[in-house]
Amino acid sequence: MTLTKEHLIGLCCMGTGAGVYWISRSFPKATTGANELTGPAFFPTILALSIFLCGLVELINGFRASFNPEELNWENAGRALRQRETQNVLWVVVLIVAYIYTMEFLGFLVATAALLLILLWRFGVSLIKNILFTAFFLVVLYLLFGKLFTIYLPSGILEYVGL
Amino acid sequence: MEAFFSVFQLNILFPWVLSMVLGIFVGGIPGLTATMAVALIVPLTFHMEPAAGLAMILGVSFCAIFAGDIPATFLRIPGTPASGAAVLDGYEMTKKGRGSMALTLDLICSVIGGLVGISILIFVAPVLARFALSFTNFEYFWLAVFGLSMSAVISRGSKIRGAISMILGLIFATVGIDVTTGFPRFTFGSADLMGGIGFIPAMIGLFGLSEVINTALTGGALTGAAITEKIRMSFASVGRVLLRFKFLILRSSIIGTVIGALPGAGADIAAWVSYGMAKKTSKRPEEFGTGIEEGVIAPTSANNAALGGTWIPALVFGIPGDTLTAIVLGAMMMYGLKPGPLIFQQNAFLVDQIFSVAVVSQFILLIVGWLGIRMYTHLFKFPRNIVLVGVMIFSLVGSYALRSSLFDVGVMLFFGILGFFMERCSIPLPPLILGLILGPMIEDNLRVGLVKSDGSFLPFLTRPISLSLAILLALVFLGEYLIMFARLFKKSQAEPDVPAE
Repeated sequence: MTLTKEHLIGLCCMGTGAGVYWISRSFPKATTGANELTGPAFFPTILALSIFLCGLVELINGFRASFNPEELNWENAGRALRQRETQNVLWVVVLIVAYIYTMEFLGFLVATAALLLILLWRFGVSLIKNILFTAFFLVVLYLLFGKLFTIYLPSGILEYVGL
Repeated sequence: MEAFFSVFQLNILFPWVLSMVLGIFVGGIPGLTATMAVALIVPLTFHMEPAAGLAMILGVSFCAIFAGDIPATFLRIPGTPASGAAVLDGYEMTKKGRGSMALTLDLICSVIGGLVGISILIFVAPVLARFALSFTNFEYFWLAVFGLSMSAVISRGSKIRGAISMILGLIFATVGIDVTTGFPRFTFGSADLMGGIGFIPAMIGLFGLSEVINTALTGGALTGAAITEKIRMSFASVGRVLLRFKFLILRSSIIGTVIGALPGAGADIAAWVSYGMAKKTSKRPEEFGTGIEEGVIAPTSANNAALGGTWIPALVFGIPGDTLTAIVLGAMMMYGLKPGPLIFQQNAFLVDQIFSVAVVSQFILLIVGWLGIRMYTHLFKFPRNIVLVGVMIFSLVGSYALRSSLFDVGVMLFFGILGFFMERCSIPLPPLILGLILGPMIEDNLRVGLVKSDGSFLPFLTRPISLSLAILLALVFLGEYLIMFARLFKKSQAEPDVPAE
């Protein structure tokens, strides 16, 4: 038996439904209203059952030959992982996570400049253009968010050099 | 009149016109939707007064919807989903060397469509609002369910996947402190999740970041027909065509407004339906798709008119007509406004300002749109990789700026990845957004209704308006089956039984 997209969606939905239902069971019973229908667990329980059922339907569709399910091609997935485009996407995700954890320490300007330089490099922009566009985006973002809308942008390490 | 003149104050007019220029820029870049343009602009409006913020949102949406037609006509790539139908004849006209004619027609039809949509909004919305004042929790519950169901029914592709997306949105909407009991749900001890999932970072992630990931992965470059003709806006010859097809423009605009007003439908569906109707009723249906004026007029009048229509349920009932108004509703809540029938009484001046902005925006669109067409003939050669990085960095800082919260950047990243995988699995994104925004409305009205009725579901079905809404909902789901059965019955009556040999 081959794994299809329907199987994957079905299992994910059933897992989500089971998880939501399991957590909802720990919610307290309602203290107002006539019965537990008005409690905090009522609506999430309905949603958990609904998504579980939808997942079940998807799973069954995956087994039906007449449904023409979409097969998951693991060989293609492996090859895709080695491609530059896929690696670019992984870079995007890793860089955003790094940005979240370092922005407070490095400061908005340093962290954003580093992010822009690396991203533009990964997306194949030449060095001169890279520096020019990084400077351009930084100035626009800083003036727009920091100065015009007076949003708090952390100074980070630049604070120590008086900026 | 006071409200009308108040929108010309510099603190409103300046950001408003700037946002319209941004709308032209974003909408005209293939892959960047009008929804995304609005999602990008909302964090900028957070620190503004509501009238200025809403003027920016309205302006950017009208411009982005029109601008989407520019690459659709020149390159056969719709800039926004609402421009899908405009590709068919617009691009064919460009191939025949009539691209400037197509875009001038497009611009003027967008303006006329927008004006018709807004006029209907101005006259219909207050009347509907008075009627909506008699609504209670029972009616609002059905109304919100109706909004959700429309999204699942109209979503392209598998209905079950549309439902999965919608339920996911509803589940995300339950995160945070339960307003009825004060109990924290699905927060996993995180203080950041107590207030629920930020709607704007989720939106930016779903539509902005997921698109960046998708485009980066496919590595697609902009290709298409070279624009060889000299762009000249021939308003005189366009005037003659407009006079010839005046009824088609009016009809398409009305169709667009009505479809836009249906919760769950938006400018893209309005454009396709209008195109289909124009073809069906045309004297030369076989010529549609070969580059004729009607094929440009019908969808472009309808998509801008639909914007006015989507504001009807948004303002009157607090129900988004499409994803774009879903963000608008989120923004209105962010300003401390409560969309619904009472807004016409409590914030009457602001509502008049919104109407004024919508009308004036159409005239600004004429100028900005004209400049946009000229600009894009040069800008289509701009490197796509730089545009992508620009979108990403604006998505990131935009998510952070709303509450100066890096947690919101994480939310944006989560929804960006989720949105990417959902699109890869052919699960539509709009139902998730509608679930996220309508979830609290459904749950609160359901639970408060049950408290009022002492746990009985009967009042949800016995009150006249709630019963009508429930029947309407049943018709939405069962309508196509009823028509199918009626056709089968008619067929079996028409064909006499042939005896077996």
